[in-house]
Amino acid sequence: MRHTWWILALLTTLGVFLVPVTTPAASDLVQGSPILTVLPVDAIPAIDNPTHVSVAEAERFMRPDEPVLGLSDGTTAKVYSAWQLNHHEIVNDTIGNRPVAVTW
Amino acid sequence: MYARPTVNGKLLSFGVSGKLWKDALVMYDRETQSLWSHVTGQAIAGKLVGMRLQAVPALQMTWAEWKQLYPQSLVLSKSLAQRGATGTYNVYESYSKDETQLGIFGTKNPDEVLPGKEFVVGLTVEAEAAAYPFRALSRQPLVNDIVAGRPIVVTFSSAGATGAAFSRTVGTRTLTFVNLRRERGDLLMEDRETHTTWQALSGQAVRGSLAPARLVQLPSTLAFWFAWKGFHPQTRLWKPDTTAPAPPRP
Repeated sequence: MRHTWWILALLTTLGVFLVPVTTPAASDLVQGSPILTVLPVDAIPAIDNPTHVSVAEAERFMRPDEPVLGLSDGTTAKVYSAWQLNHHEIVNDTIGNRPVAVTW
Repeated sequence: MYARPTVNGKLLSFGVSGKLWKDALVMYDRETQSLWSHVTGQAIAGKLVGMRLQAVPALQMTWAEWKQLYPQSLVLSKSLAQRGATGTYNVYESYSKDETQLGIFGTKNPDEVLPGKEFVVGLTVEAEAAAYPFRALSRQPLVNDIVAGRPIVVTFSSAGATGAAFSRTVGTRTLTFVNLRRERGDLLMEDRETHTTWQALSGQAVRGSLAPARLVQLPSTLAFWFAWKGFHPQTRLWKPDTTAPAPPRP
């Protein structure tokens, strides 16, 4: 399911036409910039119940140069593949007992 | 990366709104339907408008560098059962490599002092923003700096494609960091005041009188220059000390 990329590619092509058409009224601007709708809500599905594996297990599907986004509270460390985050953008997770939103 | 707050007794969870603001992701929370910028952490529309999420320091780097730093780390599973794609390659590779395309709709580079697609380590302390370009950091990968009056250090690993930022204040002391180098794969540095040895990307003291203290990490982000400058028009752009000799690459 690689819809994200081709939709974005399509929008890039359409962007030339789309931007003038969607030029918003001044009242729709937030701090001088418009909020543009490009996809339906949840077309890119956030992850709500993430499952995690050990580094040893992750070696099966991770590549050495693969970019990751990670955090540590000094006790626990959690890490997310950026290639995977491209398809989800958001992970609703916890670190220790602290609820966090991993955003990409 | 943000802490998820509880509002009126409900823990917020976030989804992808399908909207863009300043060429970047807009999230919504499922509890109030407010819209949030994932770059500033601010609610830009809806009931919670004006509220700001607390940033949690995170780091972007290569998998090889991360597992060296945190061998006990938990890793998001790529189980096929999960809804959506699994991410076995970079779908944005052509975008990352295209030096001319800025953003989805073709944004202009707001400041030609750097190429639009030059990577920077961007950070904000209070209202002050600072950017540390990758190319300059590769010449000087350890930066003792002051932002908004606070002593900070920026550390950089070209091999790990990453930079991190920490406060240089430990207790009542202000430290100055020197001697960034690799030892058995670990990127380490020392402070001039106590000669304690620290992991440069986690801020963890590994030996010396301050061990096992941990430097306070500052939220920072790796961003394309055009995007950072777009969000932070007043950003300071750090330049390396050109009189210092170029150090070996860490």
